[in-house]
Amino acid sequence: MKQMKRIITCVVFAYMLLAVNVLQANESLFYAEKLYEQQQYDSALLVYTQLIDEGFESADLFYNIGNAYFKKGDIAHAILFYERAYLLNPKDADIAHNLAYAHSQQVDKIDIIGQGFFKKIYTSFYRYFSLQTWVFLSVFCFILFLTGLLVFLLSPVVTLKKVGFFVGVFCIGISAISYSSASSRYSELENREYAILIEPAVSIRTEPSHSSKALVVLHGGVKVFILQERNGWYSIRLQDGTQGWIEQKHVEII
Amino acid sequence: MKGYVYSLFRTFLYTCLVCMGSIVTVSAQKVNFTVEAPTVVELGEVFRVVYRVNASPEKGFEIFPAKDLELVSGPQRGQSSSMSIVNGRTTTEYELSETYYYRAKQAGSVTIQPAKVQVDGRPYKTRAHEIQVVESTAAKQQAKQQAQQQAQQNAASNQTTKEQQASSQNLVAHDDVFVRVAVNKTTAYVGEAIYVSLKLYTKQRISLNNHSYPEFSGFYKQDIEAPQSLQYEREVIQGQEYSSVLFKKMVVFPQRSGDIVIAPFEVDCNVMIPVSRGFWGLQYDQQRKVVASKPITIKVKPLPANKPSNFEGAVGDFSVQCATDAKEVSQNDAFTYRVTVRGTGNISLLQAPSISFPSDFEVYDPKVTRNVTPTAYGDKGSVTYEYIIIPRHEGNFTIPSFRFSYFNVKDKTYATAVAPEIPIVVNRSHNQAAGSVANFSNQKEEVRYLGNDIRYIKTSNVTVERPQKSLFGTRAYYAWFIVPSMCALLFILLRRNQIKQNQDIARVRTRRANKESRKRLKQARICLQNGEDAQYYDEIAQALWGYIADKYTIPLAELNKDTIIDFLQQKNVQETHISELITIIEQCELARYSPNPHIEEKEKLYTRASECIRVFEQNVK
Repeated sequence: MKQMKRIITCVVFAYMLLAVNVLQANESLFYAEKLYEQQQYDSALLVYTQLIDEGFESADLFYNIGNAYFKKGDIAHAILFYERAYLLNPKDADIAHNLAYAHSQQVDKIDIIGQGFFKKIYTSFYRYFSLQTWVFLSVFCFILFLTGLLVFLLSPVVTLKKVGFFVGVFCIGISAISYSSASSRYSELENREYAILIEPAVSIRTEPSHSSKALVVLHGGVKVFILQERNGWYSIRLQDGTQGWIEQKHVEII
Repeated sequence: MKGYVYSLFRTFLYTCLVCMGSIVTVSAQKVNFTVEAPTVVELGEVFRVVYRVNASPEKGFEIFPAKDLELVSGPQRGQSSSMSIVNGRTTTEYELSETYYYRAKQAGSVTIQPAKVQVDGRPYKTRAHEIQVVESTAAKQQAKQQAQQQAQQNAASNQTTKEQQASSQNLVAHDDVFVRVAVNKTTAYVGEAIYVSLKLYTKQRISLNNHSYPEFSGFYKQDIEAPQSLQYEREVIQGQEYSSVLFKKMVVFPQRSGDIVIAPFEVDCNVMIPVSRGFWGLQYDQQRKVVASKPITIKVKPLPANKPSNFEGAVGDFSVQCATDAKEVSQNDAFTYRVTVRGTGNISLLQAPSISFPSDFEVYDPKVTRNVTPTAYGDKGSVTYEYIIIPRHEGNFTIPSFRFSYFNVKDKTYATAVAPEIPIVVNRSHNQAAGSVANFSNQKEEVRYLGNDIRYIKTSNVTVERPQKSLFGTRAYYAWFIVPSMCALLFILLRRNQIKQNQDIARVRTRRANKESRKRLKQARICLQNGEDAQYYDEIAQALWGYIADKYTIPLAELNKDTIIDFLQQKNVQETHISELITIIEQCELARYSPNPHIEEKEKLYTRASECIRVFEQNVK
């Protein structure tokens, strides 16, 4: 009984601590907004960065950080944080707009090899709901499917059997789609395969060494796809399909 | 001599003018003390070195002759002065010159040390002058001839080399007037400098009519010296004295490999042959003569095959230098990158080097400055390529090291001169946002987004949270699939089992249907014997009802005549059997409920019922 009481106290205390933390975070956010309004972007960034260091994140937070970097003139970091915000919330129009605008301000013009039509549709489909929604849908529909199956198998009434069959088939379909969407969204969120070049200008090399031939000079803000990692170098692929090597310190993963 | 007389006359005139009392102001002009000498001479050739000063010195010239030069004659002093009045301004010019005639004693290069002179208490110096002394074929041949003559004198008998004899005869066969194209080498690599001189030798007085220079096809040629007026020099060839006339000295660079022939050099002249000594002195007979040199074959060797990748045909000896005028520049500010190639060789033929500048640099075509003097070993001097570069983006850049490969004739190998790489720091320009220049590389986007900017930060409803681990992919997530599936499976299994058990019960009932009905019939028989008629009929009816219910596992409650008929018809039981069964049941009911039953004998009903059940047992499955 005594132990139970202690556990409860602990839980309550932890919750309060969290609440206090969130309150402080809200205060910080408000303070940063004021700084941004007064065009003190460096200071605003400091406050935002502290929030990130404390382990907070959200699409809006990243979006605001991106804005502060953009106003400061650091396009590369602006793009990095817009991309992060976009990753968390691909449906937000402001984020998409600012990301596109920041990309247009970036120096390098790289021909983007277009995604396939179906891939595009699939991407916008699985981003339509949040990961949580997809997870819930997949489980819920699966249970519905089981119910339909039971009804189909066990009901002596023919009509009920029919209803059970069709509900079952429909629900297992929805569940499978939800599962695959959840899986895609999850891998997109967890396996951060894209990175943004932070250095103002860096040569992409043919091999992971400084003595190798330089393929192309890229400028801050270019989005690259990471293929593999080796001795402090990344093998990357540009959006036009070019592959090369770049030092890890020059890029930051989205 | 004529010039000397002329200058004396000038001096005389000048003195007269002074005597006439005209006021002459000698304007204090800059003192120029120069030395004039050829840059290339052949071994044994007599050449002039002239020192000039445009003011009257306090003492004579103080010269320092080089050791390898033999003074042939001189010094010859010359003096000239002139005065001119232009628009009332009087200028006087005075010049003092000393001319020395030298002959080089050794091949190689000779430096004439600066001479000194004192003017108005101030010392002046000429610059040092370097002369290259070339051993030409003519000079070689001459040395050979002399050696051969000595050998002939000494031994007289042995046939040393017939060729040399032949060539000596050839030379003699040239008579008193001949033309010679002298080269300093007959084998050369492509691009290697060859020194060529064109001379005419004569023992007689001649007058020149015409001359045609050979076409040096297959060569790139560069004149070293081409005298405006032809001058006669004394030269001793094979112990015979000749007057020689230099037409041209040049350096040529073969442009292709193989044997290239230098066509003969032809001179058309009138030779004055003395005939007799008359009253008016020597009488001359004028005789027209066209003399031509022997064609010379130059064996041009191709350059060795192992060319470095950046070799672009430079042959000679070079060094390179690279420099920028700034190490740190700001974005969009131009700076200069200078590449200087210095040395001796086919420098005039060099093309602008290809330098792989960082691609962010806007590089303009280089401005080329050549500072070259032709010498016997090729052009000497430097070429400077000046690139104007505008960095368009900030960052740390490196202009890569400049590697200049050339073929070193002396070592007969390729060599590479390297200038180190130059790091350049490009800083961000401060007026980037305002500057239109900075954005001109992405103009296209600029047009599309004209007057556009990022949207404002989100101010309301901004929430932050600590990232939560998603349910997806965890064991709990899969448990949500597996546990309900297991439950459903268990349920289905249990239900199936139950159904199966029920089915078993039905089967038992069917199997036992006959037995049960017989039991009932037996009971009926007992009732018949005991005289309990109602009981008897009831038992028979029950036996039949029960039999049907058990046989087809139909609940008894659901049974009536109509349902039984329907059911049996569905089961495809024959109509006769069905009507028999129904008749028996009806008769039983009639017997039970009517007070005066009109029925057949009780016994017969019993046998009919048992017969009916037997028929069902046999025929109906």
